[in-house]
Amino acid sequence: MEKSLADEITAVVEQYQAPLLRYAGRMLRNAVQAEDIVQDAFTKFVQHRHDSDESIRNVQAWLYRVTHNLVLDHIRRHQRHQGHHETLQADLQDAAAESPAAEYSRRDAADRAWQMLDVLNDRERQIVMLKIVDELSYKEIAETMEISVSNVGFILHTSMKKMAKAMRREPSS
Amino acid sequence: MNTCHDIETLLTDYALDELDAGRAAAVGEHLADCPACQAVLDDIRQVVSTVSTAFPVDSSVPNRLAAERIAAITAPATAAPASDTGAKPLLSMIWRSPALRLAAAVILVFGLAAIIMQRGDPTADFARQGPQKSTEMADAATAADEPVAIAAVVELQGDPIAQADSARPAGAEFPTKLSSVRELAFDSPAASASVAVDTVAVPARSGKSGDESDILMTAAADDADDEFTDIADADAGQPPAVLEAADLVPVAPAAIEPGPGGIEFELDEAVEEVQAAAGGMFGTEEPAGKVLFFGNNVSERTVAEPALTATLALPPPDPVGAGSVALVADDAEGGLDLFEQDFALVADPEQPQEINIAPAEVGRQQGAALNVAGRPAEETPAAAADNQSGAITPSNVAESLNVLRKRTPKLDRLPGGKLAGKAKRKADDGGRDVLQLMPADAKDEMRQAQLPPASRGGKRFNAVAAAPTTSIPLSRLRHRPAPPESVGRTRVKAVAGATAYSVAGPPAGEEPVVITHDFAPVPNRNVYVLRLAVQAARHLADGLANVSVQVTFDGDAVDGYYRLNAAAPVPEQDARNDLNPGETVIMIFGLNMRAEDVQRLATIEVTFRDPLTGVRQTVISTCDSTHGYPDTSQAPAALKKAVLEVILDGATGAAGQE
Repeated sequence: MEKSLADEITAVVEQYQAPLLRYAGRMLRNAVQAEDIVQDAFTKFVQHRHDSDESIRNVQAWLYRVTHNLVLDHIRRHQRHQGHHETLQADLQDAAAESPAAEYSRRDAADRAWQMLDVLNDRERQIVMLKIVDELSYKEIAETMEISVSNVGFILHTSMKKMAKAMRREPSS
Repeated sequence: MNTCHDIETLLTDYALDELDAGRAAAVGEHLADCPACQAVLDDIRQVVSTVSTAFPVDSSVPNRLAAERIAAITAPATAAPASDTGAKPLLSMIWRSPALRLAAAVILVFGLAAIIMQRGDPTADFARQGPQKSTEMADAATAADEPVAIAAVVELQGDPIAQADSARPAGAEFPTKLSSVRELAFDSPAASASVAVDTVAVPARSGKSGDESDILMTAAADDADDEFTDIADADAGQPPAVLEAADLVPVAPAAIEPGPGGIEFELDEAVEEVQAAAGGMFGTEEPAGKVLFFGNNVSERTVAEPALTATLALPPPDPVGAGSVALVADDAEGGLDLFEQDFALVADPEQPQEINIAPAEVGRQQGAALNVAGRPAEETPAAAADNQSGAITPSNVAESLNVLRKRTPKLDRLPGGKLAGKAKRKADDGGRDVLQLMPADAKDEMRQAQLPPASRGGKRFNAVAAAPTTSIPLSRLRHRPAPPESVGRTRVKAVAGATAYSVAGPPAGEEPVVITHDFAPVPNRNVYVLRLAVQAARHLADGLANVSVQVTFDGDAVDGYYRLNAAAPVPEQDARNDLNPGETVIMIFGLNMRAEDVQRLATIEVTFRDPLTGVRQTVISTCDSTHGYPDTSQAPAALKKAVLEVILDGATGAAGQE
């Protein structure tokens, strides 16, 4: 393949691997799975560059979206096969590093968080994660999601209300 | 003005420190005196805290991929062109990707099934296994037979076009552009998996030879390269072939064509998941809103899934003039947003016009209502019979869904060139609601004529990827039409049409008559909608006689008005209108506004004869800013519905009289 394409892919990997790993890692809490996901995302990027004549207008947005979808697919497969988020949480690798109380508290928070996130659609969930988990600014989220900044605010606010409602509905679970 | 509504919308930004100092100070000031907004803020902060706690920075996740992973990623880019060694990069790509491995396994399963059936084995054995068995097979293949699966995929991909041809019914509109080597199709029962659309056909579960009844379609994610859908699991435990809304999120123009058995949309109540058939198939970007269908058939569906590509195929049977399509979004907060677009149809069956509402930026849209208006400019008698209204009806929706089929000369020659159908919504097993589009006889004829013998009978879904469409992004649909022509009058006397418009109203108090009114703006228009209800108290022994309702609009605020729920101009006075106890008259007006800031909108005078004393009385009520809603999101449902009617009627209600 042309050298320019190889260079481009290398540059993309260099530029985005860290944020994507961080993003997938925080959602999955599993380093190996996060690396798998990010590798798959980059592989899809390569594949797209091979197969399609159309260029990707916003590589960052594209990679985040693919990574996000891969993570969700992974989680859904996990849910389908195992049942619940608890199983996903059972995969935590760094549990040993936490005290039992802290681990229990974090798992409980994770449970509640997933229950709240479940009421959102994919896009809302991704925006919430980008904001709260990845701590991106509205502007960065807007660029990543290819929507307007004001829309980011609106979607976040709507999502927060949905999640708050879910939280009130299931306060103890 | 910092009302709770103003502040509430800023609370998330406030909690996330995204407000500038000035607005943050204003919010803080409001919060100090408003426990309700403070409670909302507390909720939001708790959500943020919970999510943040749940996903702490994971120190075990590296900042870089391992070198061998990067090498695996970049290897195809540095390898020879794919045409030289096509199988190897693809094979390695599939091998590296769990998703592709799964897809490969599934494809293998269906491919083997297809091969078995091509050899003449009866479908019964496979059919008896059902989808659950398929799932098991796929899982087993994923777990144990991956190398075999990959080899099979590569082999099948060797000549995708030939195989696609072998499965392509004569005259049917299959994708003509195979976008990648992963476009696969098998002989009947067909299974194809492409980057854009994955389809899998499973054999008839009835076990009858030749009954290709159950076809499951799943689709890839919205990005064409995102992911294969987990085909194996998609049908697990669901006996009838079901087109799942969740699996339809995907691709750009894709039309789903109903088979003789109709399309069933399974609505999962647990997640409020719906897609609907009547009016075309479309969805929205946001969940939990409602899809409203207007026109001759008004129905309502809740949508929870992200956007389907909304493809509305308009039937082009006769010379057709201009029409308009209005998409009205009803978001979760109750707000309305309006998109409108005029369009013109041409009478060319070879080039059917489609209004394709692509999943584009839609702002606050969370649900949608779709209305298609417009009558044929010249109707043939047959067309007139079938198109009594230009609006979408179940019958012409059924026709619309098949419009792509009309591209084939064979279909053009069908008797009458028409399809008919009826939409039926039924309660199904386990509390699931199913909207079923049932074809009529004419449609069956067409379908039978269209499909090859092996495909006759049963249900069939074809995903037509990259079908030619005329796409109109929603962003281009934004349109602010001029307000309706003003009648230039600011005074109306309206007498209740008690018989025609009365509905049961809320319990009245001690007064013989209860007057309620409220108003809200029509989004993006200089129009308000006023809803006025006059109720005779329920406790009355006798009704109110000679009731007249006089509405005087304030000329400073209102430029003109029109009556929305009256087919004819309201008579100035009628001494013979009675209201029975509890009966309510509802009058809805569209108002062309001079000013947005309403101090006083109207004075309502209701005159009637007291049934006890026989004396005529007049009750006066003033409609001012306290009765208005600054936006429709806060309006009650009845008023919101009136606003929708204004939007969908094009604000052309009958004008009132002086």
